[in-house]
Amino acid sequence: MESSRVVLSPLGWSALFGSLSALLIGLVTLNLLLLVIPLAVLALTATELLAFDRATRGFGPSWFHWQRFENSSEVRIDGVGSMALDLERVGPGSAYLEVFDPQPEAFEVVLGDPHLLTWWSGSAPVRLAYVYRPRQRGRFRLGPTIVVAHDPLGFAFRTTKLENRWEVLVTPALSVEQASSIPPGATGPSEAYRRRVGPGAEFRSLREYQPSDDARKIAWRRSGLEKVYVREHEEEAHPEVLLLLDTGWGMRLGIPGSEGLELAVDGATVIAGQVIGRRDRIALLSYSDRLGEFVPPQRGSDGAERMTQALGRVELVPARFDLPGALAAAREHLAAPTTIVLFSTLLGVEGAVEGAIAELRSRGHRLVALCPEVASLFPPEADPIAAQTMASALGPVEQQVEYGVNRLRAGGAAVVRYPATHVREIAADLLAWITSGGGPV
Amino acid sequence: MTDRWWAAVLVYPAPLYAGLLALDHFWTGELLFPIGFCLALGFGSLTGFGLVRRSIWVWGGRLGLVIVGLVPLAYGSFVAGDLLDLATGITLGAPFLWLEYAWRDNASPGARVLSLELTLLVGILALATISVPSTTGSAGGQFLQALETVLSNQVHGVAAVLGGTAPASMPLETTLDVTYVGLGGLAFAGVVLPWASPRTALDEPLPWSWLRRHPPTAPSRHISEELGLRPGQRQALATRTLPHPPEAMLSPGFGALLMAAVIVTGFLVLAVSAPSFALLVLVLGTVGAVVAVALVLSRRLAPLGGLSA
Repeated sequence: MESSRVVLSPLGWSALFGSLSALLIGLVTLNLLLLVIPLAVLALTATELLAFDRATRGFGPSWFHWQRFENSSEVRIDGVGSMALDLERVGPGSAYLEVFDPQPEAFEVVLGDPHLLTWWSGSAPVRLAYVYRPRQRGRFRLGPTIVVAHDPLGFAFRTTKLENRWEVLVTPALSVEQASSIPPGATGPSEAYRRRVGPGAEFRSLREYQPSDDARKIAWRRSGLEKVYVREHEEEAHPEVLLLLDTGWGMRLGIPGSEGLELAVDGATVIAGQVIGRRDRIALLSYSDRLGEFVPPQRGSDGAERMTQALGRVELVPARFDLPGALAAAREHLAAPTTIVLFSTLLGVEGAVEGAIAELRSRGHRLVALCPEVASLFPPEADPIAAQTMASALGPVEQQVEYGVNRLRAGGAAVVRYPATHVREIAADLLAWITSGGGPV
Repeated sequence: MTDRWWAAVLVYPAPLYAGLLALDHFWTGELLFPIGFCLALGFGSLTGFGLVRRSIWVWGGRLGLVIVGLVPLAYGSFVAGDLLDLATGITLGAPFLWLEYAWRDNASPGARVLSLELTLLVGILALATISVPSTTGSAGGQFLQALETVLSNQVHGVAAVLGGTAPASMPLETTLDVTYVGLGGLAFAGVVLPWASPRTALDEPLPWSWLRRHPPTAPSRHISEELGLRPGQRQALATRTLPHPPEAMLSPGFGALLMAAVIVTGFLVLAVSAPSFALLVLVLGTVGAVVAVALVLSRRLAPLGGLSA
C-alpha cells in the first residue's frame, strides 16, 4: 500500500537529541535522578514515534474519499468565490489530522477556513468550506488538498496530497454598465453619427463628377453627355473595434499585480464595456510571438460574457512581442473596416512595422496604440537617491519605448501615451475621441 | 494565572530547596554569600517571568553576574573572603539564570530537558557539598573547598568504575535526598506535561488548557447576504467542521506516557535491586530505542512519500 514516510518535526529532533545529551550527563554523574529524567523523555519520544508509525501505517490518498462541491469556477474580480470539500476516512481508527486546501496568494479568504486541524474519529466526514475574494484577474488553481497526520505530541508527521485540483477563472469586472462612462455626446447609436461618406460597400447617393474622382466610380448608366455622375458609398463612422493585446514579455513591466498587461486588460475591459453597452461589436486578439486567442466580434450580453472570460484568460507569454505578426493576424481575421486598439508597452518594436500598418490602412482599418508611460508604472521614490537610481535604470527602457512609438507614428498610427494610474479614464475617453473626430489623431 | 506561572510553580521548588539547604549549611553570618544567591535568584526570576524584557538588560545582567561569579571563583585561593562569598552565592543561584528555558514557549523540548538537567545537576552538587566535613574560613571558601572535594571524588570514582575497580567514593551518585528527588520529579512534570497535551499544545502549551472553556467559534456565524452565495454554498459554510480536541484516553500520546512510566518504573526497580544490570539495560535500551526510531524514519514505502506525485 502506498504510504508517505514519517518525518520528525523540530520538536521530535530536539526531544531525541536533548534527552540523549542529558542522558550523558546522567551517565557521568551516575546520579539516579539525572538518569531517570532523560530516560523518561527518551522513552516517551521513542514510544510515541513507534506508536505513531504503527497507527498511521498505510497513510496516503487511499485513506480518504473526497469530493469538491458548491465550487465557483468563474469569479468576477469584484465578487467572491466559494469552495467546499467533503472528506471521509476509509477504515477505522482515529488520528490527529490537519487538512489544508492551498490558495493562490491572489485570493483572500473572507469567510470560513481552508485549514482545519482536528481529531478525526473513525469514518466521520469532515467538511471544509470557505469563501474567498480574488485580488487579481487570471486563471488560478486551487488544491491539491494536503492532509497531514500529526503525532499527538507533535514529534512527527506524515503528509499526503489528494489530487482534487480545481481551476478558477477570475474575470475582470466588465459589464454593460460601462456604457454609462461614455462621455456625453458619444452615447447612443445615431445614424448621422454612425455613418459618413467613405470607402464602404453600401451605396449612398449619386453626385456630379469632379476631376479628382476615381473614374471607376462613374455611374455610366445614369450619366449622359452633359453630366457625368459618380456613385457615393458610405462607411461606418465607428466600425467594429478590435482589442489587440500584447501578451509578450515586455508587458511584465511594472509592479506585479499592476504591470503592463494588467493595465492593458483594465483598459480593454472599459472599452469592451462601452462598445457592448452601445450595442456595437467588439473583438479581441491576444498575441505574443504567436497568436494567443482570437475572439470574433461579439455583441450583447452573451458577447459581454465571452469577452470577460477571454480577458480573464489573458496571460503573459515569455516571448518577445511580434508587432508585424500581430497586425498581420488582425488583418487576416477582420472583414469589415475596423478600429484596432493596440495595448502594448511597445518595447523592442522590430520588423516591417510601417509596411504592416500601411497594409492595414489600405484595407480601411485604423490603428490606435495605447502605451503606458514607463515611469508611471513604478511608484515614485521619496528618497532622491533612489529616485535618481530608478530614473537611470528606466532610461534605456524609455528610449526603447520612444523608438517604438516613433515608428508607429511614422507608419501612420495614432499612439496615446498614458500615465498608468489613469488607464481607465484614458480608455473611457478613447472611443469617443476616435469616433467623434472621424479618425485617429 | 498563565501557563508560564503554572510551569514555574512546578519547576522552581527543586533548585530553591537545594540552594537554600546549602546556604543554610555554609552560612556563618556573612551577608554577601546570601546576597549573591538572592541576586541570581531575583534577576533570573525577573527575566523568567517576563518582568525584565529588554534584551540589553537581560543579557547585560546575565553577563555581569557570570563575570562577578566566575572571576573570583577562578582566582578563589587568592581572593579575600567577601568577594568570594558574593561569587559563590551567585554560583549557588546560577541555575535560576537559565531555568526559564525549562518553560519558555519558544524553547524546544531538548533545550527544556537540558535546562532542567543542568539545574538539577547544580542542585545535586550543592546537596553533595553538605555531606563534606566542614573546614575553617568564610562561607564562600568552605563551599568552594567542599565543591572541589565532591568533584574530585566523583572524577576519581568514575575513573575507578571505568578501570574495573571499586570506587572509594561517588558523591553525586549517593546524593539521594528524598525531598529533592520528589521536587525534581515535580520539576520534570512541569517540563514534560506540555507534551502530554495534543498537537495544538503549540498554541495552548499545557494539558489543562483543554479543560478551559473555549468560546464557540460557531460556523453558524451570520453569513452576509451581500456575498451573494447560492443556498448550497451557504449550507456548506454553515455545516463545515470545526476543530475539536481528541478523546484523551484514546490518543496515542496517552499510551506513550503510560509506556514511558512503565519503563521508568522498571528501571527504578532494577536500579535498586541490581544497579550494574540496570546500567547495562539502560545503555542497551537506549541504543535499541535509537535504532528503532532510525528504522522508522528511514522506512520509505513509496519513493519521496505522498508529495512525490
